[in-house]
Amino acid sequence: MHMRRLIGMVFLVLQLSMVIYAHFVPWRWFCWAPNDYMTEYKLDVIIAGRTLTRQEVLHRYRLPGYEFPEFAVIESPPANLIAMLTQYERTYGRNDYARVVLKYRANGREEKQWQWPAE
Amino acid sequence: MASGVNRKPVSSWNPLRCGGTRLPPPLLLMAKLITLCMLLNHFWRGLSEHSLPFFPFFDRMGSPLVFHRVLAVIFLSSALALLLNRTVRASCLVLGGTILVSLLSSRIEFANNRMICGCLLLLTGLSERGQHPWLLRLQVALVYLGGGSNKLFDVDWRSGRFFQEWATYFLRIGTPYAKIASWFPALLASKILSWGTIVSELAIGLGFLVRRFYPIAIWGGILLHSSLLILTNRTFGMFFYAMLASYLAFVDWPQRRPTVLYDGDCGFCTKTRNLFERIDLEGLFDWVPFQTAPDHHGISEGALRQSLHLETQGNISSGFAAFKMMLLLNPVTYFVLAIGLATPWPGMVEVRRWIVVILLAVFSPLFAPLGEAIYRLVATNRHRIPGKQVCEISPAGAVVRPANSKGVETEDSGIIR
Repeated sequence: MHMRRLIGMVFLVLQLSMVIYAHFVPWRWFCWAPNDYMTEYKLDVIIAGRTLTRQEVLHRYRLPGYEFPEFAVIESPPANLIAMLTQYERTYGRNDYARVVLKYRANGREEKQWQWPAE
Repeated sequence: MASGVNRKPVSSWNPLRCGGTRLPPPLLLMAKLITLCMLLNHFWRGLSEHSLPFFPFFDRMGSPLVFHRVLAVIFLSSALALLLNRTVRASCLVLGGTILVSLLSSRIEFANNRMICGCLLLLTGLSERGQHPWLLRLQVALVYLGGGSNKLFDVDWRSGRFFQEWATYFLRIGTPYAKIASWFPALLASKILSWGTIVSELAIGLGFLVRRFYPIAIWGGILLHSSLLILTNRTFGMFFYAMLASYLAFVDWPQRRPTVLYDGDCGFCTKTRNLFERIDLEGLFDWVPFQTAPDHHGISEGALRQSLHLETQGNISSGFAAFKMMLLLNPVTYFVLAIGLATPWPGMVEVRRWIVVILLAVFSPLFAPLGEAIYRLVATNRHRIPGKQVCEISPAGAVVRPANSKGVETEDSGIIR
């Protein structure tokens, strides 16, 4: 019985730590920020000199969100998106030597750009 | 926390029953409702195939498809066990654990609405019968305080910019929000909605930390989530269902059978009793004709003749309020609502909104005077309602006894005298 309580308390303390931690970092994971951000983005990916089609980009990263004709939208901050792209290129896609350009606007603000590998 | 009715606990295979297990009835009901809503929305299909995990060791766990299928089988098996009242705490732990493992194994699949389901189920599995579910209560408070503080410290939430942008993409022209927003200057409607959400979330979170504010917090939460659903037509995945179900962790369930005092001389009242007993699968309510009741709980005979009374833990409610309370204490009500709201029927988006509006109206205190007036109208004219059994109450409420007052035998209640 005490073990159950202890596990539950540790579980809640971990969540509380993540909630506090989230105020000091740009990404939002496990911190109860449900649907609090909206990032509109467009991805250009070049592998071995060839630009991937939109379908190929979708298939490569399988990112969550919504597809619109000219761009995609994810209900997370840009940092979450960048974290996923970075992780992919460092692991599953590391042998592709892809050049990735991400153009994004967070909550309708000015457009920004991120690229991989960083120059 | 009240631990249920004082009857010998016998766990049933009937999924609509929540008594007789190692979990308090309201917690088991909460877990079942969340599980049912997940099943209705094919939740298991979204369990991860371990891709871009938070911890690298998930990448070494074999085929992503096999990983997904194993999670789905575990999820479905434990959901079935939970719904059939088998090893309910272990089932909750496994269900919650499966969802959290799925989230940890894929950044792509991470979503707060899934996480809340996992957290609530896991903590339900850690709960004990006969003890306050304070872990669950803290969890619910943490969700609101975490969400509210994140929004409060975000400049785009404070300015209304986020909501304005979000509405542009996700709210079709014609949704209530889009219509209302068009009446206001730019950003004003979104700013009002943003600040309304921030203040509500923080207030609800704080309310759930103080026992005497539970009722206000519950109503605040119901209004917040219902308003968002009505205005935006979105349930935000499982969020709407999970958060509303979580309020059952704040409810005091009766420790002994509530007594329903009704007029045994009235055929319509007996029919009402029969109907309610048919949907009372737990045998929770003890229906007693006031004419034969050993204790009237201080209620006058005149009042008992005029309306039905419900005694729950010393609290007396009557008429429309008693009917509402009987529905709220019956798990079947929640299952019917969950199926009605969460099943993805064709055209459900519009219908769901109206169901929520009607439920809010009927159960809100604002509707109580009208509900009571309707109850009075029916009660006063109950002798006119056609039926097999004869009502012995005159319109004025005086008892008209038959010449032979030995009684009338009925098939349901024995001899009524």
